[in-house]
Amino acid sequence: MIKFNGVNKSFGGLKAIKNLSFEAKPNQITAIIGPNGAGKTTVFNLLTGVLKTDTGSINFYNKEISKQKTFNIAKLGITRTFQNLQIFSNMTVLENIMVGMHLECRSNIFQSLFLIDSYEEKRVRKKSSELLEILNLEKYAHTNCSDLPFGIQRQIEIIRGIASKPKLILLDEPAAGLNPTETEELGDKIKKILSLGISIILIEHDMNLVMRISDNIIVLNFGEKIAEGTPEQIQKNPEVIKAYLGE
Amino acid sequence: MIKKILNNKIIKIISLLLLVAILPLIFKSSMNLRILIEIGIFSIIVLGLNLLMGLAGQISLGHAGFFGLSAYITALLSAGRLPINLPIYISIPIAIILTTFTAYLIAFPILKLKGHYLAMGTLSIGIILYTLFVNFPHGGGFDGFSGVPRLWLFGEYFTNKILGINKYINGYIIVYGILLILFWFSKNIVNSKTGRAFKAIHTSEIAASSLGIDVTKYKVIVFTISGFYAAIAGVLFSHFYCGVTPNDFGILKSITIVTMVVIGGSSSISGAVLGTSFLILITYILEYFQDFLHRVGISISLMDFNIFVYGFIFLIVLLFLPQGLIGLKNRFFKWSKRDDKI
Repeated sequence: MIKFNGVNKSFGGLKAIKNLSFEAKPNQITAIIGPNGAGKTTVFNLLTGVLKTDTGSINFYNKEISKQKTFNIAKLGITRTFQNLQIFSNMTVLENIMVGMHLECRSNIFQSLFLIDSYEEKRVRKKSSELLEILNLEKYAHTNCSDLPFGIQRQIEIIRGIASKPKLILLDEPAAGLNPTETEELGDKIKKILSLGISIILIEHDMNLVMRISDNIIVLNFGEKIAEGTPEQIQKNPEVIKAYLGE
Repeated sequence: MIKKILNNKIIKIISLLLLVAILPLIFKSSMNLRILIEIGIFSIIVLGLNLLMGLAGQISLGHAGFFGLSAYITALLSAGRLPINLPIYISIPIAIILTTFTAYLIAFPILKLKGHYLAMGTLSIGIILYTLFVNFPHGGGFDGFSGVPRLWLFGEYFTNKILGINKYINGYIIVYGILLILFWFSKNIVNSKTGRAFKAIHTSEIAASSLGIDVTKYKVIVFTISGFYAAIAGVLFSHFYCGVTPNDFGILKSITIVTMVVIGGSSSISGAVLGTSFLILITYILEYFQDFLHRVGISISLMDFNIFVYGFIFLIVLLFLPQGLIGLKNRFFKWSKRDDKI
């Protein structure tokens, strides 16, 4: 599904990603882990077109995407959440989900001006409500996002992502700031997303969560891939232990 | 209970139409009608700027430039100052189309800027257009020119002589008719896919684009729409006041328009009209007070303090009413809810 081929990315003199190659398979949860500053979020930024690669290529279902713009990559079926929450705090929960359905909504501005879009608006509103119901968050539908607890906001960001019907969702530290119970629930919800046919790439520091839900793990350190394998393989890998615990 | 009644859509529409119909019956004098027309014209441009600033989070400190461009184009084309002299029914659409197209072209480079840079960039556009108004060979320099034909509802003869509608009522009907339509358009945009895209861009451009929103396209759309609103306000200004001067479209005017947006409440369409009414009325109250002082023997030019008063009100609103005057409505509802509980 996703193929990184010898990707390099530098910021001035700092090499953030060094000759990175890996493949993420469809219908799997692939986790990217590594110490702070390892280049994990840079991988997401390269995948979503926020940053452009210096060299190397990124393929999504055999289509080169490394030079594409972010919104075009979203159209191809890749969406993401952010390490620093990027919820639309000036909107209600339902409106946030409706923004997630932007690509599915077929109305245009001229139809909106004369209210010819009301049927389409109702359809999108209904589908967004249904999505909230599936994830038991319908009671927050008309609440302003800024009035919600952090944990709920995190979930709304994820639902907003899946509302765009992606083939792949990138989750950047979804458990950050959550308590153990919320993290446990999050794990279940991530599995539920996978069951909807959406592949997942996950960046996470909570190793319990990563080991519990991931099918494949890629370990980065100083922009380089130092290990790749199943959770069991990664837990025993001496390179990984060294990167996390030191010599 | 009060909130439920006030939030009923049909009641809202009927109240608004009744208000527009009743206002000229209450404020019959030509002076009052002039003020109402001025409020209407400026509400149109503020509505457009409200979409740009309040909804999409982009600032423009040069919007009076588009307002003036449209006013000058229709004035020049219809007042016989150019080799060609067009009837206003042709000059008005030309002015609106050219101004909107100019806003569209300017939007591409200018909206690559953000924050303070965008403010400075749009300010520069305003200055460039102002310089154009002053130096255009047929534009009359700093004095501008008059002799621009008036816009009549059904032509001067039929409207004035047959229907007996005077120029103020005629102006009121045209301006408020257009204002109501544009107000409706704004409301429709806010509650649409496009409106949600604008709001998303306001909060986080990166999150918006990761959901498939073409940020550049939507920024250009909202800038062009606000240019279109300014263009309509410009032609109405030109054909109601029957003349144009560069000072009507200078930097000070741009800042005044931004102040109107902020004072009314940049996140509300109704706030745009409220802010405009408030600031224009303040100007006339100052003028009235100045005349009163003059009559009692105190000669002071309060109009020189106009900007000081604007600045003071601006500061008060920013400090105590960050949601603008429209925010008072929410406070009232909170207060009435508390009262209900008691």
